Amino acid sequence: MIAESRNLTKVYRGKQVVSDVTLKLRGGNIYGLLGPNGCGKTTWMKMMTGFVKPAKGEVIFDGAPWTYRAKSEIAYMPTEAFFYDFMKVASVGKYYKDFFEGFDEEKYEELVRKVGLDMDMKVRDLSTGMMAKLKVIATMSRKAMLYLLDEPLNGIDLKAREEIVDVILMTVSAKNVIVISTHLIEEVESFIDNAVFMKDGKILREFDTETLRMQEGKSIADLYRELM
Amino acid sequence: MGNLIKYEWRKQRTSRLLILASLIISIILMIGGSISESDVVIGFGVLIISIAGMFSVFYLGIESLIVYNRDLRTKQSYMLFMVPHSTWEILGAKFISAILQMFFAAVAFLIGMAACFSVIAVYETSIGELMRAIWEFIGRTPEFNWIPLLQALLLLFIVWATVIMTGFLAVTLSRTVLLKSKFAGLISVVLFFVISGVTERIHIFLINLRNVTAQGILSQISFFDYAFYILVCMILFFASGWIADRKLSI
Repeated sequence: MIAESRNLTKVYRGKQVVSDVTLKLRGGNIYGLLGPNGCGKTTWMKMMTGFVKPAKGEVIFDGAPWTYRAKSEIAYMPTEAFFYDFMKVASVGKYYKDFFEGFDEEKYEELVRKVGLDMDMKVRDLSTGMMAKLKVIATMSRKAMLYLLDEPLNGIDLKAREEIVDVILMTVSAKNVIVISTHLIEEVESFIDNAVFMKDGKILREFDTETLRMQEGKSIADLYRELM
Repeated sequence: MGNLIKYEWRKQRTSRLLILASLIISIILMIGGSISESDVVIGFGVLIISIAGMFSVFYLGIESLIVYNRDLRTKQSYMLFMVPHSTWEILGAKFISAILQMFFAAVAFLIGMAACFSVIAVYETSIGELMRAIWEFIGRTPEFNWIPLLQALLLLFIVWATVIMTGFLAVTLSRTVLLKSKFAGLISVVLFFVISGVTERIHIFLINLRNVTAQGILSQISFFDYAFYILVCMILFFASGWIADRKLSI
């Protein structure tokens, strides 16, 4: 097991936005964290990354309680644009290389070319779609055990979505785990191995997607409609 | 840590370039005015270097607080806090970078001023004559001592660094324990002045304990003064780090 969330709870202004979430993340899998906006997906991811301090519970990473050193093996991609304004596409890669051991510069440059970006582009001039691609490329060019992608397919066109999914599928291996949070169920249904349904800060159900299809004869989208 | 400082340094590059540009312009004006024997042009150069020299050190310190606040308030906080360094290292890099940048501006202007005033003194202009008179006065006055002047400048620098550290603590408080308050900004500004005031009170109290008069303070800046403000800087850093490490969520 690569990471575990044990009874993670977060309270904002008296309301539990994440409530007692326990989840085990096993290597070689792509997890879909599925639920409507505001159900606690982002806050859970931020607690796993160490950006948000939990009110209760703990994160176990690689068999030990989370410390800041785990950040070298946790690649988090926020849903918002987060690069520094002064950066160019090339300097984003340089930043990641400066801080993250094992950052694959060649992969980064290759993917940048493949998705139609240019190393000399300024990040503040990128369109929403271009920015979404750059975020995924920078994150997936890291060598990490846990990838947390928050809404990676939001606001981007069909072709860009396919490119992003290709990058995700290229990266998954037995030594890592990828968690994708989204409310665009149809977009991820074809490639996620596990579906985790969240609502009101709680995990409603967790499924192996293959088992779900074989035993219950339902698609993830069908089940999502039932549960939400 | 080196990389953290490098990127902090990068965030204020535009300001540093503007400061360097003003320094270069003033040097060109002073040298050009000396060669062309134009007191007006030299005067402009002296005016620019004096104003820019004085304000750039203060401005770079304040800008480091603005950058810190932005780093905590905006989504760029992810860039800063996703790196595999502790909160202590991240804040430490910010503090070191702020002090280095103020030091950079102070040294750049001191060297620029000294070089320019020496050049001006060589030429036959009214300001050149004035400069020569000042140099001669200094040369003729055996008791004139550069050491207290440099000591005063160093102390001024350390005191300003303490003020900036107080600002860092105020920003940290406003983004952590005061985050839920509607008046977080106002409270942190009030706290900034309270902490600065309390620091000065303690300083004066300790000076009184040592029985040093006000005139004595100006003429004899002692090791105690440096030690006091450096200690305050360290306390402020540990307070900011401790709070951020436990309470900061982005």
